[in-house]
Amino acid sequence: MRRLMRFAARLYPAAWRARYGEEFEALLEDIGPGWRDVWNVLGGALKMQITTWAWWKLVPALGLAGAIVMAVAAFTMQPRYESSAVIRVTPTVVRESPGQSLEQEMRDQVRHQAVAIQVRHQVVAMVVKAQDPTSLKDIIHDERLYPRGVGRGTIEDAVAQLQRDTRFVPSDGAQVLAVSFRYPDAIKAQRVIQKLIGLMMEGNIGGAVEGQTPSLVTVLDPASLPIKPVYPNWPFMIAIGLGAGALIGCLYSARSGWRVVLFSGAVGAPLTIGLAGLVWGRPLLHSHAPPVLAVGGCLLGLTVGSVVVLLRRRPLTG
Amino acid sequence: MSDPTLLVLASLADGEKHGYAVMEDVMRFAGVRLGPGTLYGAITRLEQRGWIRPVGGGDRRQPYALTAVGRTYLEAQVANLDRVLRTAMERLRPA
Repeated sequence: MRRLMRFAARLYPAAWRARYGEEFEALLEDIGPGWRDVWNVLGGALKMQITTWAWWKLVPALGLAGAIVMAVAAFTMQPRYESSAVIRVTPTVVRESPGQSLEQEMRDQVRHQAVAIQVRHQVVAMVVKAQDPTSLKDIIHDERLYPRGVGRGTIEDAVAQLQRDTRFVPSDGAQVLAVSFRYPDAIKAQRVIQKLIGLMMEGNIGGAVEGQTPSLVTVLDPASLPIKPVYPNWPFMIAIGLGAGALIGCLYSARSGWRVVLFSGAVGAPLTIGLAGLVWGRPLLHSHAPPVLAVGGCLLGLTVGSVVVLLRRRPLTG
Repeated sequence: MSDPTLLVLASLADGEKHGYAVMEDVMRFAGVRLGPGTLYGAITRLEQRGWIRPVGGGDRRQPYALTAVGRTYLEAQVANLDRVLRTAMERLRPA
């Protein structure tokens, strides 16, 4: 224990040890340290290091610490695999040969619109079937999904979770539909997608408009067996930890110039939104981008403000 | 009251003491055990602010004493605490 305590005491900054080292060691000899004291000395050394470090040492150190914390967090998270499949919904309406007359062309256009509506109708019926709680309960039961329970542990909560973990992305005028499902087990994720495709086939038949034949459903990409997890995203999480740690280091080091830092942060948000608005125009305002831009601009402003304060205090060179 | 700097100042108010003696004294009058890291963190801050100073020497156990500024600060803090305590006591007294 004493050896450990001496090691912990050596973690204090050199200048501090030169001034207090001897008397601190005398104190440690007097108290006969226990585990609580070891932690106390370790905490004291860390605090002393942080308060005495120059910003150019503190910012990368906290950035590194943030990256390590996020890497550990990512390591402890349960990985999630995503299986996906792509299907094409083709209407079974027989097209007439291109008409020569205006009347025939108009009839063709009306037919095209009817076909588009039919496809959308069919796709909606297919998705509704693939989200049907009764069918999903069967999948959860057969595949033994969510064994540890979700929410309050009811089957309804598990169904809601399965619905949240499933995504339907239509494209090409809803004729092509990508379906994906995320789950901690890659094989189960693939099997769920296979079953969902089966349900969608049933939905296609059940959802056909009376008097018409169902659309033709072609599986373009069958349910994939994922090899790499999509979550946790290691590079993203480590980058977030690095950035957050460095920002905290900047803000802490530049706390004496807090007015400049706060002003930069406050100006950063509207400035970023304004600049983005100039570049991308009106559509930007109707998207989800403004809140993200506001937060990003504010963080950028805080970073720039604190860097300005720090550079004015102690230039990197000279 | 668990602010280590105030506890150390209070301990040194009746005369100079070294680290271990401060630790024991604080434990006796406040029932708070200051860890070695916490104690020396407080001593470092107090010395930097000029509220305490090392006295004597020669021994590894370095004693510290209150400076005049430190005493003034402690008196102001104690007066504040006293006001808070008296108000609390009055308000707690049954009507």
